[in-house]
Amino acid sequence: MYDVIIIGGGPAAISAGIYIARKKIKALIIVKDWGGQMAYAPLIRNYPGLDNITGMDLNNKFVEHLEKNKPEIKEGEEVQEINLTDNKIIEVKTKGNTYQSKTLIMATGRVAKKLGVPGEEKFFGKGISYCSICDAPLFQDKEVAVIGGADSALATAIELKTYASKVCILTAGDQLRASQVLQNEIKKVDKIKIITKAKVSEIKGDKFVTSLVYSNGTGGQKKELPVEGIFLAIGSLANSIFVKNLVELNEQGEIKVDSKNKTSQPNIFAAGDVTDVSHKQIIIAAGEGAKAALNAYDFLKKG
Amino acid sequence: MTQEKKHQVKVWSTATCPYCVTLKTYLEEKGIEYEHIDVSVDKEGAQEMIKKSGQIGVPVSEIDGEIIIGFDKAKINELLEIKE
Repeated sequence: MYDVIIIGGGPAAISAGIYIARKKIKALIIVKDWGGQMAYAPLIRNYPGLDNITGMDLNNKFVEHLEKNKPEIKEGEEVQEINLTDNKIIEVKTKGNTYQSKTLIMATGRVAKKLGVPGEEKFFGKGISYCSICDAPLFQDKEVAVIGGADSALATAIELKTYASKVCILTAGDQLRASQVLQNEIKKVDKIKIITKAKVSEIKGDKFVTSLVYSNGTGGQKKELPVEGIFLAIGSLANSIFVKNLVELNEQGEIKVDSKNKTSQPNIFAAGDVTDVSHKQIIIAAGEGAKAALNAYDFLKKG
Repeated sequence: MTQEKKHQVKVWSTATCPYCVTLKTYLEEKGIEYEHIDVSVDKEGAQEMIKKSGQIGVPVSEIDGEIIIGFDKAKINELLEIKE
């Protein structure tokens, strides 16, 4: 029986892990992959003390710091189910293992949204990618599309412009939602085009992606755009599915927490981007993780 | 750490891809030697990867002729006989 189980591998989970490890109680961190969304950030420029660092480098610093505190970690384990027993013990099931704990800290972050159109599953990794910092160089001299209209979509387009011959940004909105700084930056690039009010309905191809189908505006005719690459940057969803029957969620599926990171279930705490905390930022997630750890510790001490 | 049997390992990756870094670090931690192809500079290497794997995305690795897509730790452990 553990005192605390922390689930997640991003800044909230790691920070919670550091704080908990220093309390010398029986704790376990279950992590599928380190870094969460942070690992995919091309460049982070707003983390105090580190004015210019890649997401992966910051992640490595976080993980090294955590490991120095020698916590018990189960790495590469994917959670499949979380249950509460009749006497309110938390039971976490992974592939092959079941762990029991008095308290739980959910720091599971967010997962990338999908389009939900035909061809999306089939062509994932065959022209469709979520990761421009991984795959952009593979689209040298090819025409590509970026789906989305916020900061991440524009950052993706900027990453791609170095390699692709043409980058078409398709946004469902009337206009882009990205910051003015990024909008100004893409305006200067001839090979980046923007299509607004674009609703993608299908991704076509043979072995690899060859085109996407979209309609422009309501009642607009379907058009086919020949592209060999499609990068999805349409936002993310709170990764709260495992506790959806145990704690209250808001309409966006985020775990509701109070100022002490308590959920509607007294021995379940939550921190970071999976919660309804305002602003999803690395520094905020890290702070929330620390808070959740300290409050879970206080809860345990009270018995 | 010494390898009882020498495996042929090849990794296609880009410098900034998070899972590529994880994969390469893992192999290094386990003392596995591998041939590394940076697909952002080696165009022929990139084409070879796409042809062999049917995948336009990194990381891809090849262990003794078998293609592995992504950082599939279980599969890598099995092929390299790594016991954790």
